Amino acid sequence: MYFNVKIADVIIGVNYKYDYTFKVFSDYIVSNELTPAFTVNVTDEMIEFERKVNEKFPPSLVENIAVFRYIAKEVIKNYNCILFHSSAIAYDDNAFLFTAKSGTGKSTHVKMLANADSKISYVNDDKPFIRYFENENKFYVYGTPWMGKHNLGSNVRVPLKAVCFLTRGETNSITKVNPLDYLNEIFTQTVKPNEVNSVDSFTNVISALTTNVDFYLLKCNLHDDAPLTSLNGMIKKYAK
Amino acid sequence: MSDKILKINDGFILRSVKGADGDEKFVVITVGEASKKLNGMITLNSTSVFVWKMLEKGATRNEIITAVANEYEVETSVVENDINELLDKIIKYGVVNG
Repeated sequence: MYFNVKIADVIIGVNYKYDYTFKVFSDYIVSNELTPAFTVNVTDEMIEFERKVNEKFPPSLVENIAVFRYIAKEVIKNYNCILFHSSAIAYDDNAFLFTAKSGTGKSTHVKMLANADSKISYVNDDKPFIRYFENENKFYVYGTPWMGKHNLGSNVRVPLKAVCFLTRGETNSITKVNPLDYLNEIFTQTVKPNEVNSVDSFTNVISALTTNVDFYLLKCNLHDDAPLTSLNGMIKKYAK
Repeated sequence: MSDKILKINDGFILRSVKGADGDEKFVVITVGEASKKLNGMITLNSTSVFVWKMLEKGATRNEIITAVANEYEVETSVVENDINELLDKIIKYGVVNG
């Protein structure tokens, strides 16, 4: 079975076996008349790999993850596009990525933010793609079908304004930082290439990110006023 | 030991990442089998980058120690221990054929 999807402005063909895969991609499906930039053919090996990673889930449930993994590696190669594990939100058509080690409280903080201001919407709460357009010298953040366990996000694209590293703190504070001091964090949260011939485009995208996008460090607690720190100290500064 | 030519193994790739003020940092990215030995990335300081570039072409311990000493205009005895320690570490992590 076959469908075309449009993810991160790339038309991708998907040859698939299980209905669940179609369901996962449904918001991103586009006409079969369009010519795909590349096609994903799911193999038994790809499915077995995902079953090992995902606690032996049945093939029907992991096929979409196998497709996603293939897409993530392919778009690094030719489309200046990388997957950045983060919670991506939008405010006034500006996107912000919140990223942190697992268990730090990133999703909680972003949820509090979304509740604090109705102008905030989710782009993707878990696995957005970010894509660099050299002609515009600009990054866009994209919704994808993989939006975390609460399915927060939608099929949108929003210009990226800043990346915010989140850590726990006794009090709330936010400061602009030099991204070159946080390369470890950036590399931990991005899906890296596994082929030599993708390394250059990956590092070019990372360099474009660290050169053109603002980076912040947020130290926050879980008090009710925590979201005001990122709202006033970062997000509203870019408001139009 | 000192005469053996040391070379970076396949899959360990040195690149640089630039910042907004024109500064840059050197990182090593692993691909393929190398990523099983070293997951993630390492940042290198300027001395390590100098040593790395020699290892890309292949060099003996003595050649590296001498070159670093010349670069910094000091005696080899000043840098010998630190360079040997650096080389031992990267051999241990499978970055270089030891």
